[in-house]
Amino acid sequence: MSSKLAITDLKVAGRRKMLPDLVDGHRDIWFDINIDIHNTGNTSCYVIDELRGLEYDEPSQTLIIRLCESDPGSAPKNAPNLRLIMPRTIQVKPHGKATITVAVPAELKTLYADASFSFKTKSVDLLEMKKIRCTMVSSAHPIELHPTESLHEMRHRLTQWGDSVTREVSVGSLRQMPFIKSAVNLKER
Amino acid sequence: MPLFINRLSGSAADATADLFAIVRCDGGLGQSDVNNQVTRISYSKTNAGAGQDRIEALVNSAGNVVITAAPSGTMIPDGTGGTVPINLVGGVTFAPDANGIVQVVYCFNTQMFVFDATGAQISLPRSIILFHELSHAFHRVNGTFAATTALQESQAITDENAYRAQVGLALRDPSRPDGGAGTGNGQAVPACSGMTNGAGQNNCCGC
Repeated sequence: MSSKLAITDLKVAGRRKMLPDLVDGHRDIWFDINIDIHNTGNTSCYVIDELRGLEYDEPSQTLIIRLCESDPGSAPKNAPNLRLIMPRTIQVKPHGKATITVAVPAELKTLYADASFSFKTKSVDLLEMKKIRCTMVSSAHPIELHPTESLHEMRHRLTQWGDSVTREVSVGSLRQMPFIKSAVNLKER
Repeated sequence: MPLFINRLSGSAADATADLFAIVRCDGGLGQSDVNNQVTRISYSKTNAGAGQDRIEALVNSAGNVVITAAPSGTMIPDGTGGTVPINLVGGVTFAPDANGIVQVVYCFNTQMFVFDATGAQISLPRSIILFHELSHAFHRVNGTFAATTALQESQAITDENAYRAQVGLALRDPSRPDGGAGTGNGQAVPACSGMTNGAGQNNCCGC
């Protein structure tokens, strides 16, 4: 039996005030989401342990987090100058377990272009979310480094890497969730 | 009508602070509100240097470039109809839109590294990210944009290295456009005098 990844639990672990902005001192609020995983196979596997994609489905009030690469589709003609960093991975031993924590901004901001002179922002209050859907990938083989490949080639290659697993859970009210007492928060007391 | 800062999205104050870092606190940098969408940057250079020279050239170029300083976690268009978190790319420069405007978006509160010629990880401070993207923008609006993606990155990294040399940072390998999340070698763009906000706090970007 080869490596096989399962998401055994998925929950919002708490919210956190980030460091003050250098210019105006404001502090954004982020959620920590814990993802418990289990390698049920008898060989080690590599798992992407950072957030690669994030979106919010408003009709179902579902936060969709992806620890995998999205399909880039066909290569655009006037591609932007954009270079994605390679995904970070961890290795999970045979029958091993791990918890991955990803941070998500409480206010999800997405830039978009319209007829304006500059980009605009669409903001979504994630305190409204009712569900989280998480997709991850794992593979018995590490992700190879190809430093000179194009962005499109890299993204396409990464979509082919590993096997995916998805889990969806309901979440309770987030508005009363306490702040995690990090060192930064303790200084405020 | 060359260089602008976005007022609708991101942090205009952070973009201003990083431009101020790039011109090494030259008091000739100014700004004026054009409308509720953008602030126009003006620049009358008093000292030469890679940073000052590039901002002067952008301010005096014919093309329109708009800068958006976005916080980590902001989703940006990826050019294929999808989005990616800005902190996974550091910065992005879009092709001119139907009105000839080049949009530059960069992340002002993430830690990233790139590689020097020996393959060692070196820091990529925020004003360096902005300078790199402004290099793409400069070449896009001045007809000097390289033909292939690899050459475009090499072109921007070569420009970036001139600014790195000016502020005493390790130089980047022009043949390696890749990088990652992390502090690299811990180097920061040194503060220059005058970079304070109203509260007397140092605003040195990337320090």
